Amino acid sequence: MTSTTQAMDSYLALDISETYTRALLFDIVGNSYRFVAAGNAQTTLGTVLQNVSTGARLAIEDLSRISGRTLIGRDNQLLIPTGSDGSGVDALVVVVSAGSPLKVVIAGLLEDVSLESARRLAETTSSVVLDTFSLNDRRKTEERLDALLHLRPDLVLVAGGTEGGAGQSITQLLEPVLLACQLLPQDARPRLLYAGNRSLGERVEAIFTGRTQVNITPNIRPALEVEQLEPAHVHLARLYRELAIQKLPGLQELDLWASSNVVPRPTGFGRVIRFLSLEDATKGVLGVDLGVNATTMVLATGGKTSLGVYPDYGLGKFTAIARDNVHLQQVLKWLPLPIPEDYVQDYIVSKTLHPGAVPTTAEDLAVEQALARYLMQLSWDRLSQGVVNGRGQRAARLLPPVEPIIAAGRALTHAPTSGQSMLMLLDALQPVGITTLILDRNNLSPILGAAASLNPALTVQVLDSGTFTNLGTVICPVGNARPGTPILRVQMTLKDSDEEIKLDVKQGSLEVLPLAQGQVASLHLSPFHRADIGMGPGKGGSLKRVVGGVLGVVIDARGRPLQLSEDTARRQELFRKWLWNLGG
Amino acid sequence: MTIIARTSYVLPLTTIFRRRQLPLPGRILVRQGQKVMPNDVIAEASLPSGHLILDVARGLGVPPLKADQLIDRAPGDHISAGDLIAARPGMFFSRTMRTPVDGKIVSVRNGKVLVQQSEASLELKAAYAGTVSEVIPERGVILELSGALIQGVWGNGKAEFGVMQIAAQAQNTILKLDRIDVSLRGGILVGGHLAEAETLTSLAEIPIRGLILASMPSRLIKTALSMPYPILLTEGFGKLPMNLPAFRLLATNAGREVSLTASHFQAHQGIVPEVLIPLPVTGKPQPPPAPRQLAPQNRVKIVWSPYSAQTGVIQSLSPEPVSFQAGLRYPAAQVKLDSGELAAVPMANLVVLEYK
Repeated sequence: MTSTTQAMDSYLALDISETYTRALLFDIVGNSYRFVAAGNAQTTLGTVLQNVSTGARLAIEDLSRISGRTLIGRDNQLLIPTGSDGSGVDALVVVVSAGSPLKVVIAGLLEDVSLESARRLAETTSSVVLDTFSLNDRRKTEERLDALLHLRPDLVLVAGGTEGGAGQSITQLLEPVLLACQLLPQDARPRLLYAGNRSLGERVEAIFTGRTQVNITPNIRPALEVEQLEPAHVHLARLYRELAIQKLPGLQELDLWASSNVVPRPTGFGRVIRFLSLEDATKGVLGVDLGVNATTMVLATGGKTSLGVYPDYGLGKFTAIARDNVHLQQVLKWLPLPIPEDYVQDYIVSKTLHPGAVPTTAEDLAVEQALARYLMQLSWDRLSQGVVNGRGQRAARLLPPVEPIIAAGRALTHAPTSGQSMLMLLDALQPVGITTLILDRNNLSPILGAAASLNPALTVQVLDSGTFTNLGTVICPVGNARPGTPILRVQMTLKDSDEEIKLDVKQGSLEVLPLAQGQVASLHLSPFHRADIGMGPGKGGSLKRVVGGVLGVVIDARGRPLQLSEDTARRQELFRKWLWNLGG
Repeated sequence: MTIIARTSYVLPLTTIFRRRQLPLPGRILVRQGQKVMPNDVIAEASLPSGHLILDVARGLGVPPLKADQLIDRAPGDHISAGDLIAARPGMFFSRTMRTPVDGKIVSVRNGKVLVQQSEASLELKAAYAGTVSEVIPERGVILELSGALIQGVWGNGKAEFGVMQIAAQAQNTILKLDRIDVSLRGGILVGGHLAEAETLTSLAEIPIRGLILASMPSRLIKTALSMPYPILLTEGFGKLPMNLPAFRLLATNAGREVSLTASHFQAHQGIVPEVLIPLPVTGKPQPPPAPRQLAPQNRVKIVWSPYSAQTGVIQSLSPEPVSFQAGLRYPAAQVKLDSGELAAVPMANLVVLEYK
């Protein structure tokens, strides 16, 4: 990857999450940008301190201490640009995931067309959908008006009407919104994001101008069979920024420092995954960012991106477990240890009170990792509802072929062992065929995505600098053979020594071929019993260059979808065995 | 890493200020200096509701613009059922449009009349027993309160004022059905742990005015939210004892009237459930100290297992990660627990306990 660096040399990034604020320094080292150092502080958005800029300053001071570079001046302001003495930085970018989700009401013509697209658009940023209006809605206009007055959303998101299609229905949908804007005081009026039939855009703007802020975006459903969320997402991310600045005390000051380069964390993460997907348009790239405040999942293929942000699936937000026993049972099935049900439920609900608290016992760690698996599964279930596969059909529960899978979020990247990180991802996402699992241990990807609009060279060069950790190449054969039946023969030849390792893999097993980190090998794969390794049922082939990851090459032949034993003791024994195979 | 730890206050005597604000502009019903009780309504706003659209254009069979000219009413007009809204004169027959409901006209546009039939009243209660220190025009008030303060971690969203009764001999006493009798009627009860939904419902039947607990199982959340009285947890979910400073402060004030504000915990808005015990004071006691960086000699409360709800004093801080079970490593503090035990605790699991 090549690109031209711009005039600015050093960049500071602030990553403000629900619990921690990080300050990260990027600078030219040699001829290219590198991630230099990071400072940390707790996010100061809590019960007494109500200003995120305090935590930002503390994180920057921590970074100054570590890097030896003065970044805050005597006036307590960030030093921009870099001074002749090497103090300060040239630019700042802020990534934010702290704060409450946007409260959204969505309106669309047809429930399973425009309304679904509007819902998916809302899910591209941290939001909660309070109500939906559609033509099938039996409520009268005045009832919908009363609902809006009662709910007081931050935003009404309107979609519907193919390009050049009917306009009357859209104006009917907008009627209660217009009336609500007449009746509510200025500061309580919802903003309007119109992402429907573009020919009505000017009319909508004319109707609402002076009553509330209107954003007209390209139609998210220009034709029945076409959905394009990305242009509208750019507008939505901008709105999120504006509303976050209003709601998060202290963010306005940071926005001034950053010259308005405040980006929602999921937007930054999505940009990086999209960028990586441009390398090979035949396979998608999957990104998962498992956070306290939300789980973000991105699937991008050849630059086309599906982004889902799920605040209700944040590790510190999963209150649904207290309301629905089904969720508890789903978490319990991923436990490798016998832990009482009540303890598990209390633990997960307590995370909502203390989202920054960390496990210190094997039992607590087991609960957190079981929850992580389930939240990733739920997130993929939601995202896959909007993902259309190559045959124009909605994807099934299984992942489509992806290369690689990139994981961010401390629960995944800072598990005590790489085997635990790998097993969480394999259990939850259940990839098929051949892929690579990559950890973003420094949680840089959202920041690099946010910085791309300032300086794409920084993003490209830092990504190229080996900042990510390759966990390993994973081969996941899919077939219907009986457990214990050999379904795949793997021959691995090490590049330097010509040493050859052979392994017959049985259905139901999880195996590891040792290949040291960075070592190169070739693989020859011969499936049996019509097992599919992504090359077609029963078809094999060679991978001429496989680079060893932390765990070498992993063959996950446990089946897809993974069927767990109903017998708790047997299931937990298998979890321990699988983890043992991955090095513990 | 710099840690400005979350702070929980257990203070025998302090002055606090609490902002109570309407979500919409409204009317303030109290004045500066006025004393208020938790259930006093201090401000109210009207939320228009029960709207009805009268489609005059369709009713009279004319285009919307023409209908606008025929409508004989204006926004702000109060109307009664049967009142004439618009009429279209004809050579032989005239057509009229009358309102079927009472209400107020709020909009006339595009041949339609929007009638507001009712107003939902948004009432803002004081939620605390205190004095109005400042009036925020059209929005709310700032209340000043002096006395003992005990903060919790979870509340069911209700508030009350009443005489506090201690129903727990120790910080880990389980509040059971067999301890409940009519002598508790009208009181704000302090228990340790509560395990059964039936106990909550029985307390509602007595009835009590409020409940302060250390902990309860999270499966009781739904029941607790439906109770008519406020419930506050000082520690959280599970079977946790009350932290000793909070228990002692509550116990020493048994028999006093207390203001129990069991707000839903909202970190972003700085709202915490809390108990304030008004005490006779001379002068104005100091406000709670500001949050500070975690440091040796800080008194802390541990919020996570295996030492949940235990309190102690930080002996030293280790910014370099310390090893815990199962290969976990975090920056940690050495804490001398009140039990005498020395424990390594991740800094992330500590809350500074301001206790004087």
